Amino acid sequence: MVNRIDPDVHFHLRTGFAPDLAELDRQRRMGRSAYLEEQLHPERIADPEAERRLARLPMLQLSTREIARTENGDQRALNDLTRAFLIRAAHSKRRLAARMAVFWAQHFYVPAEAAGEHLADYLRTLERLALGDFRSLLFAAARHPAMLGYLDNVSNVKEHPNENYARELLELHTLGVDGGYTERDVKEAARALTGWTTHERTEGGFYFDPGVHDTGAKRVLGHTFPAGRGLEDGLALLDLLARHPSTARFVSYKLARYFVSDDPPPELVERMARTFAEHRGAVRPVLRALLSAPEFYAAAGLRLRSPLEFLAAALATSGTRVPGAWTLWELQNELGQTFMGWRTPDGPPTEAVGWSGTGGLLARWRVALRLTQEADADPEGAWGLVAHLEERTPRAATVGEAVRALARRVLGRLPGPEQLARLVDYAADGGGADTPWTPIRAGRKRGGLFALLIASPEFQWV
Amino acid sequence: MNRRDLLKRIGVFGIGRALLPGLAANLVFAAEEREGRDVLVVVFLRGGADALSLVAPYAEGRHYYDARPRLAVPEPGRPGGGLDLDGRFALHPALAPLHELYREGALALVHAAGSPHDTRSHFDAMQYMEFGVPGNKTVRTGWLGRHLALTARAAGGSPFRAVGMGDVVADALRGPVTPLALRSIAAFHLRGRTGDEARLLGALRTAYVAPAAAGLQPVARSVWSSLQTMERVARGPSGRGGYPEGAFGEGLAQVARLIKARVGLEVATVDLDGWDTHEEQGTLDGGFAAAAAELAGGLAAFYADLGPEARRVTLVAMSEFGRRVEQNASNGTDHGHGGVLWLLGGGVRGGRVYGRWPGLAPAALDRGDLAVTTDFRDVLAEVVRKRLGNPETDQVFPGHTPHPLGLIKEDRSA
Repeated sequence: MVNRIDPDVHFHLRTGFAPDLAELDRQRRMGRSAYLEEQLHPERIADPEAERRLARLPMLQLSTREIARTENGDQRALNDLTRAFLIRAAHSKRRLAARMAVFWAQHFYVPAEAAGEHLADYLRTLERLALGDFRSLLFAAARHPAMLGYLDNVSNVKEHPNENYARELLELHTLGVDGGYTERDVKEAARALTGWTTHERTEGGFYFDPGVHDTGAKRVLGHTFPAGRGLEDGLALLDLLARHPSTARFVSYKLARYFVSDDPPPELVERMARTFAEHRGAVRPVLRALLSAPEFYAAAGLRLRSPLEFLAAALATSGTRVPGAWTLWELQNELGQTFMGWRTPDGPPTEAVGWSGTGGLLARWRVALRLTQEADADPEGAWGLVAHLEERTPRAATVGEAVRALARRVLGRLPGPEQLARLVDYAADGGGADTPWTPIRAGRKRGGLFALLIASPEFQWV
Repeated sequence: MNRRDLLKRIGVFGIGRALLPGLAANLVFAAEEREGRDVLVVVFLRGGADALSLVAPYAEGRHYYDARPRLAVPEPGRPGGGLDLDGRFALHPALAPLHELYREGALALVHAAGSPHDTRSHFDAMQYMEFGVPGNKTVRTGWLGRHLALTARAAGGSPFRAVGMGDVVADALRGPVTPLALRSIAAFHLRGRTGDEARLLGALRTAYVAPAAAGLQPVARSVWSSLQTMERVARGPSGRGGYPEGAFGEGLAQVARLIKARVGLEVATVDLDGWDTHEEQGTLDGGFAAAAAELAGGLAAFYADLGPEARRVTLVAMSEFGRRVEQNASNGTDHGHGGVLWLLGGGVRGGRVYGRWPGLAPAALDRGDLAVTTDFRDVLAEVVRKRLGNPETDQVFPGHTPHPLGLIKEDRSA
């Protein structure tokens, strides 16, 4: 069994991507519920470090139209978006907001390859609404050119209805596959959405084309949509879905799977779903219920970081910089997950089983070794990576002290006594915890210690 | 979009990195599988390969030559002409190495083959093919992934059952059995830190024996045993060589090594990019000719390298669609429909062009494209059943009733 994780540390690890000891301290002083209130209102949190770094990403300052006009703009934008994700994971004090932005991007999922130049605006839109209410998110996704194009609603017209978006809307975005709808509901929902398409000239890119809308009467999920309506059909459908009890349950289930465990306790999901319904899909009350639940605390150490979460946390805790697009792309591919690269509308898995293959674990170990190669050990620049571990290594008199401080930095906590003893054994070359942590020893061992910690089981399971 | 394209576009290409440092040869290794399993290698020609230039229907006369004044492969016997197969079709001259394999009976072709769905989008067409369910976007696993899952118990748990060569694992392998993404045998190691490597790896190893490793213990054991296996393969003979330069040739060379080393490989995927030839296709002397030569060189070297092991290996090559019959205004071809499937191996009843040829007469075309008369699933299902011994092809290709073409020699499941 996993050794016991302090509730404060657990809360800190699960509501962010990487441990940040200063934030953890602040959270302890404020108390979890006050800290959570602050996190639920990211606009009130000053975030200068992350903002300074994000401002240096040129493609993120451009509009969709400007990205489209830039040569290979979509690819460049993807590279900057990937960096933005890593920057937020490492530096942002708006920790929960960053996590929720990723949650919604995976829920209303559109692969980068399909979103093209629209990806930046799409992610920005979801991020802006991440802590608001579900209905706004649903409407924003439904009207966004990235989604309309990806799931073919642009070709959903009266004469040839295309059910692709309608089907995923019910199965993946709202009711869930067991949400109690029929094939007929899918077909009728598709009819309600005919004419929802894109246009270059409109603000935001959404356009309702009345000429191809099916104006006949429809019946979806037991509700009749009278004949003769236009845009209202789709709006009524989205409204109906947003307040459907199956949606409350399905979105709560997905949130619990993301924050708690692969197989979240049904009682917890039920409580969250009730909160969701009572507050008409407001995200904050649901998160309050979730993050204060005993089930949440009982799941400490039982969630496997996804490859991208691993990469984000590894870069954040080692302070390694990724200078080039090549290296960044290569690291993601080696780990088996690229940012917004999953190729089906269900979005990347959050469960351990999706990411725990032989190749996946080996890749994590290899990346851990690679990230912690210091620049001076490899004149070529450590294969495109620059690690300055010296700055990240705490001052210490003995090996035991150094190991404990490093473990706290990388894991956010101390591992069990056996793991600590193993790390000491490595760092002291078989000596004990009292072995002096001399500058020479530090120079020789800090890279290996970082690597061992990042490769350790405690780093994979949080 | 693949990595090379991306990097080229972002402008970071050109950083020299040796993927394959020198491999020491000359070590004898013990066989892990006493009787080698059948292996299926799937080559995907990404971008929509122009089937009418790879396997030219020269007997169509003006229907072919008038539609492609600048891009057609001349008739056999003319300068730069194709290599005759059966009086109807000729192989592109750069495919000469495959012509030999065809005459030996190791290579079969299926013309006018492809997906019955009419999409001309790369994204959709590839997904339909790799997931094996044309027109259905609700299935989220690949056809090879489903095959691997269905046969998991009988096969045991070798981490090498499914290997995707390259950085990105082919979607066809997606499923509950995690495939191994392999860039190269030489890169499958944990070396890289100088000095105290042994002590460091020792510490890592014991960390994963500890209770804290929880669900990852068996995976960690599998990693260590895979590392040992790969070290053995890397020290073993590097093969016969003669592969074309580049990721495709390197990928096939390494698949051949894994097959010969008998590590438990059942399914491997290798990609060959560069077939999306909208502009200046260069059928005979440009980019297309080079891609054709790379394809032929790779397949021929692979077959020769396998030697006697070829009897248990079947390679299938396919593309998401063929290209428009009529060339476009930029001396290229746009997305089309019908394509060619290639089958190579000891179990293939080769030396024949399979499939009903619909012809290129205007009335026979599908929206200006070569029609599809053979569903790609008919071909793959026959391979799965007869070579991989999996009779449950209705689960590998749900909703499809296969019509075998008889292009595989023996029935292993019998």
